[in-house]
Amino acid sequence: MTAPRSAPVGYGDTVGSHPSPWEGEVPVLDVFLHDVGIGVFLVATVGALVAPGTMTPLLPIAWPLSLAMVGIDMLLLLVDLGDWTRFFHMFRVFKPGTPMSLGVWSLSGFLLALTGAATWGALALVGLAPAAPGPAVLGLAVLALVLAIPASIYKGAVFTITSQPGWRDARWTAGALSVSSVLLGIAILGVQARLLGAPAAVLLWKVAPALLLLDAVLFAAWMRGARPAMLERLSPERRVAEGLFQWGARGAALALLLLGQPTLFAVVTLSLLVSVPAYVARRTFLSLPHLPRLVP
Amino acid sequence: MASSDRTRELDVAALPPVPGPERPTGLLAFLRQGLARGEAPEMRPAVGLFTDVSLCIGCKACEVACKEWNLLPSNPPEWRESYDNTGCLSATSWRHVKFVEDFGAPLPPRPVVPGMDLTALLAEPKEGQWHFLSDSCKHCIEAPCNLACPTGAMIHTEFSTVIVQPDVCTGCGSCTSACPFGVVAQSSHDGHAHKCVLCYDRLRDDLEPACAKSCPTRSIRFGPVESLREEARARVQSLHARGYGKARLWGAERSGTYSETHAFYLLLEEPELYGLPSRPVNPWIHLTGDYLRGAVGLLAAVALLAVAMGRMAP
Amino acid sequence: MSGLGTSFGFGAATNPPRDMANSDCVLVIGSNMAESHPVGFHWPLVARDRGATIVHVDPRFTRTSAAADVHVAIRPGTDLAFLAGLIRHVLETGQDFRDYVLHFTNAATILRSDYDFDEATGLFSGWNPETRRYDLLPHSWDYDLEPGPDKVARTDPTLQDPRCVYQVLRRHFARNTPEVVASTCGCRPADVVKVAELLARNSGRDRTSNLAFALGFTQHSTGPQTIRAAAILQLLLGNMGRPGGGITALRGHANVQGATDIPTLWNVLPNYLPLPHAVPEQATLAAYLAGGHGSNARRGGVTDGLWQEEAHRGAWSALPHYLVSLLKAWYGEAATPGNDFGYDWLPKITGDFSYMSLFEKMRRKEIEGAFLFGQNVGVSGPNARLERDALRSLRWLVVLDLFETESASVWYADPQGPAPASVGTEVFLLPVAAGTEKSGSITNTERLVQWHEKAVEPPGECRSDLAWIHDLGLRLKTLYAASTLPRDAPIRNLTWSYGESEPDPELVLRELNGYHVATGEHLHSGAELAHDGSVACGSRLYVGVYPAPAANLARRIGGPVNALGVFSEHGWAWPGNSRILYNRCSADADGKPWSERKKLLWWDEAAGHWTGLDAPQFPVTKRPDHRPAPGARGIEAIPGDGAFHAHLDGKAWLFAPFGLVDGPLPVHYEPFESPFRNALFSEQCDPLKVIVEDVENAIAPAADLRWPLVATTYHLTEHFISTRMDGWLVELQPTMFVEIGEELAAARGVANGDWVVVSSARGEIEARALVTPRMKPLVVHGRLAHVVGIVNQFGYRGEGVGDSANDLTAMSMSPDSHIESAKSFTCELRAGRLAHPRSLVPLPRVPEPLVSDPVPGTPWAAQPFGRQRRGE
Repeated sequence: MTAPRSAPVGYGDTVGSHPSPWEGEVPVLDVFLHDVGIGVFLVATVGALVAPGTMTPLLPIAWPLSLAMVGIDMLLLLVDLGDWTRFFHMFRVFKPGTPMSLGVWSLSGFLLALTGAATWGALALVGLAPAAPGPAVLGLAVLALVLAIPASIYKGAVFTITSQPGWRDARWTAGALSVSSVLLGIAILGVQARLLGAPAAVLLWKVAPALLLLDAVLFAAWMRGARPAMLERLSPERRVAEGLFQWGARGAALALLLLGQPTLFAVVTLSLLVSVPAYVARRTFLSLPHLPRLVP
Repeated sequence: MASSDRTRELDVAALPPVPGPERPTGLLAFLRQGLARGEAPEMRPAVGLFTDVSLCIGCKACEVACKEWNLLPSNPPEWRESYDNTGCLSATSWRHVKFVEDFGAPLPPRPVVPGMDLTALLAEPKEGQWHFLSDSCKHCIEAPCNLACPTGAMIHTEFSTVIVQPDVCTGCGSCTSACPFGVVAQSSHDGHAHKCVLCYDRLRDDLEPACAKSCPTRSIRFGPVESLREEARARVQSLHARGYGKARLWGAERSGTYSETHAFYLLLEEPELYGLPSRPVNPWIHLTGDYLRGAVGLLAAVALLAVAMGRMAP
Repeated sequence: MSGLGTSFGFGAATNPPRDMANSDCVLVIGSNMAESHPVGFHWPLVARDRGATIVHVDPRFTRTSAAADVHVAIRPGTDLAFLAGLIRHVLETGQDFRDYVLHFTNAATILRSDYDFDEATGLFSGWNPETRRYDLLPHSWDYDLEPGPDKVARTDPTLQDPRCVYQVLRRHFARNTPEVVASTCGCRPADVVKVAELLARNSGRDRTSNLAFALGFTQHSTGPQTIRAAAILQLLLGNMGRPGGGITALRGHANVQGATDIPTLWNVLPNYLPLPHAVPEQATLAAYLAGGHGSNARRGGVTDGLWQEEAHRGAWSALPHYLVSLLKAWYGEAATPGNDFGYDWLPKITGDFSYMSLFEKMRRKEIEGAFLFGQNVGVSGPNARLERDALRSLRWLVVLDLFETESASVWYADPQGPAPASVGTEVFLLPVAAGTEKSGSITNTERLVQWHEKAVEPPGECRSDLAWIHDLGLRLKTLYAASTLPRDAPIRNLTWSYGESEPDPELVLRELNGYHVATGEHLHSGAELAHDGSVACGSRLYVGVYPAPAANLARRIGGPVNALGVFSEHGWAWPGNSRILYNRCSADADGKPWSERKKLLWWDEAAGHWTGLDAPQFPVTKRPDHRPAPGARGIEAIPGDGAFHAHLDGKAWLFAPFGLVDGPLPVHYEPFESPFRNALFSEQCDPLKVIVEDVENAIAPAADLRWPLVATTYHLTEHFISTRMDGWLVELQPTMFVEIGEELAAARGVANGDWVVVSSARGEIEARALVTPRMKPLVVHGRLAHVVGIVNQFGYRGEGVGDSANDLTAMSMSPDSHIESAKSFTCELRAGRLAHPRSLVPLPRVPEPLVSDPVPGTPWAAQPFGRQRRGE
């Protein structure tokens, strides 16, 4: 015999917002590529400014690579809109107080400047431009560097300035994503440098532990904010598994950095130990509003 | 709202002939129309809706009137094992009447005995209550959807109401994610965001919104928001006097985390019962902090990188 | 109609719903007013805000109960018992409004000594067990008359005489104690006291209470008697004819009052004139008129009685004026004194042609064709399966409707019907215009005639019902024009001048209002009606609605609002624009208002006429202390405190000496189908059982355990019947369901949302179960009574489809009104689906209203959603 039930008392379960339409793999990939692209640019450009001797050789590949990543991210965004011809409406207004508007303007400016710098890089690769960037190219790179700051931090704010469970409470999202982006840049560029046989590989290997520690701190702060929603929506088994994975990967990366040498195997392993947890963390975080609440 | 306003009907013949918006042809015209901006209309007194659940009888006339006036399509029929078969506000349902069955134990038996206390008998509470709430857009003064919109599609009108201009909406979903009440929704039909526009076209013709017009019990009242609030406060007092101790207004006052709303409610129970948050939060109160924390994180990382590289570079 | 008409004189609601705002207590019983009359329900809510108490007595906790201060759940079919409990409480606690009762009711009238009520059987004197009818010769229900030719009743103003109506009432209702009533109804004894006290405390000189009922009263075997009980209660409390008081008979459709006034009923002519019977006593006009209004041949050979006095005293003495004016309106110049004004051309009653018997006659092929105007009997009629079967027995069927309804598609779409090839019925579906697509008047609950103009042209070939009927009339007149047969004279002589090809509804209203034959001048007041053929009037009660060609008063909109909140110059209410019927009762015997707070009309001694906030529904100059001269006739025979001048004594009838066939006072009988025995009397159900005899119309025996549950049917506010063709409404209530309580659900193993099968002695249907705490089991005679609430708006045609509740109901009716007793019957409920679920396929949804062009003069932002162009 089935136990009788009547309609639940009240709408207490449904208090709040509609789930965000940013659902599925595309937004995750979008956030990830955005962070990787900007991270690669930041590390390469800052490196070229403070350690030009070591880092400049990476630029001809790093800049086009960054452009490609962020470009794919932009394409994904357009595809996700459904009707990409509508995108130009974004340029009707400039609202720095709206993360999405800030992002569209700064990312577009960043892409424009980066396109100039990357064009030099591509030409330099095939020998049509000098191997070292001229002042004009450097100027463009500095402009892109300035624009990369808002372009990097808006992404996290897009999620936290909402009413979505999990997102709305994770105050350190933008900070964590930005730091993670720099770490991702180090890991990806490390692989590039190793493949090119450039000395930059050693330099990147040396600076990585500090960034790894900073990333761990911000990651912890980020997840702390999302914790209530995770308790509400993630099964205990999944929480433990994901926690072990995230911290295990970070521990392994640190051990590798401290104990190992930047061999090809080591830099590829490091890039995986950094990027896979980064992707998974973004994926889990973005899925929070769309997961059903666990029945207590 | 004076009764003359309530009874006013639209005299279509008296309206001046105004051509419809031009249709863009070609890419340039398309862009030009998209980026064009018109004259800002002159500001009018702020108006709003006061929904009084103590007068709502759950007839759903507002839902139908809304669909009829705004030509919203019907949703595929879905029985939800309840009298509420709308489920939630959506791109095609801008009004949603909620039904809450709030029943506890039956009344205690009361035999009739000589000299029984009739006053106590007459004052006996009901065995339970069936609550109704006609939900719609709250038309917030500081509207998260408006703040979230990157294109200016979401605007405050000259009546201080919030509407979507679908022609410049990109369908990015920022407003849907931002609204704390689940009002704005994206249409699977055209991809744009849609929500109650408080019958903006009717307002421009000095008519009240279709929902208020059709409400048979004046549970939904339309008018200048200041006088509506006064009316609402007076109603709360009279309900308190009549024994509805939990009667309260929702949305009529600014709280630490949310602005007042132009569509506000008189509730007889806790807001959560009706699916309204008792402490709504406007995400924008965190904006500066979140930007700062993002900047702190990024700059710390970049600084660390620069210093470390500068030191360690050969 | 029979319950209110017998008690007060008119079969109509007494006060406008707007006046409910002036009530101190509103008792809604036998009605789900908030759901069925949401617009009118605004006014009880206004009253509530002014401090009034709203009481809802209903088997279910509905949206009306939600708005009420008190809800009492009773078993369907026991409203009369509950009201009897209230009446007893009022009488036994002495809370009746004595001054009022003395002057305006027949409480003091003394009854004949041979009147009796048997407390064992529940039968009145005159019962003939062989015919199972009341023999009323001698008429033991009559008043005891003073000796003399004037036939004046004896009275006892002290109300002490044991045979006076007041004392008879007390004895009659004495056994309806709170305990007995509670045990019958399934409520708590205290609930009876609670409701009675609320009413009594809110009635009297300074306070008034309103009682609102609807089909929850009328659709019972004891419907008219239940309304009688409500009338008795409201009279004892002194609430009739006063602001905030009255009985609100809520009508089911916008124009039901109009359709009752200009009747669609089989046994009355317009405005409640009795249709003559084909009997020798009514063979000529003079013989018919001599019998008066009360001469209805239902009386079956009774030749002596008080009823004969109606031909001489009171408003009905004007019957000759009414009927001759009507005949002149119908037959025009052909109606002359020489041919009894065409009396012979009127149809005469030869048998029972009430609604349900028509379907029996169809099944027996005694009727070959039918017109259905705005009716979907295949869903809405009792035992609808049988009715659909009856429709398929016709040779031809004409359906005039907005949609192809269940009735129109009965020949091929009924999942329970035979193969279409075997159906010989030729069905014609004529498209009609909706309310907004035609002009005309409607007469609503408050007798208010309101004109409405066509707002849009009807689509395609749709025409108004009036246009179709007008066309039909023209064609019939043409077909019969050359005939010389006497039987065709009624059609040949019928006036049919409502316009050339398209009828003008104002010409119809002109005929209803009436005009002087010689001059064509419109009538202004009922006093102008005449029995000499000088006046034509199609509707005596509507005289004055259209007093001049340029003054259609039904067209009036708005106007000033009076102190009662009533717009007395909006539209026009019959009779004579009186908004509150029997409004003489609003003042005491001296013509002074009972109180300042409740004043309506008062006698202005200086001016020599009545004045106040309403049009007096009696001669405006009749002094309050008027005493009729011996032998006075007509209205003159009604004294100055005679507020109910349609009655020969001018009083409201607590005790009805005639007018109802099943008793002068209300008695609780169980419904024709009940799981319980009548605990009060040995007669189980209404003794004048009227049940259609048909194998398909079986009735469950009393207390039959095969059908242990009590079923009731009702409408949801979201639908009417054929509104299931509208997607906007279908999405609000898409599915056929039954409402049951959690206890019954547990007992039958049903969870919310499950399929269930509901069966009665007539058949079975399947539906979804809505398990809700709003349906509580009731304790009746010590046993649990579970109520099954069945939505009755679904059928097999529409965007929302489902089995029809009326496939379960019976063709049984009240002996007085011939209205079906469908609101309570017995059923059984089980989890699961039918062995062979009927294939019900919803019609495809009408596509979204996409329009390619933007609305002119409207900015993009405000363009309706439906006009958004795809991808832009």
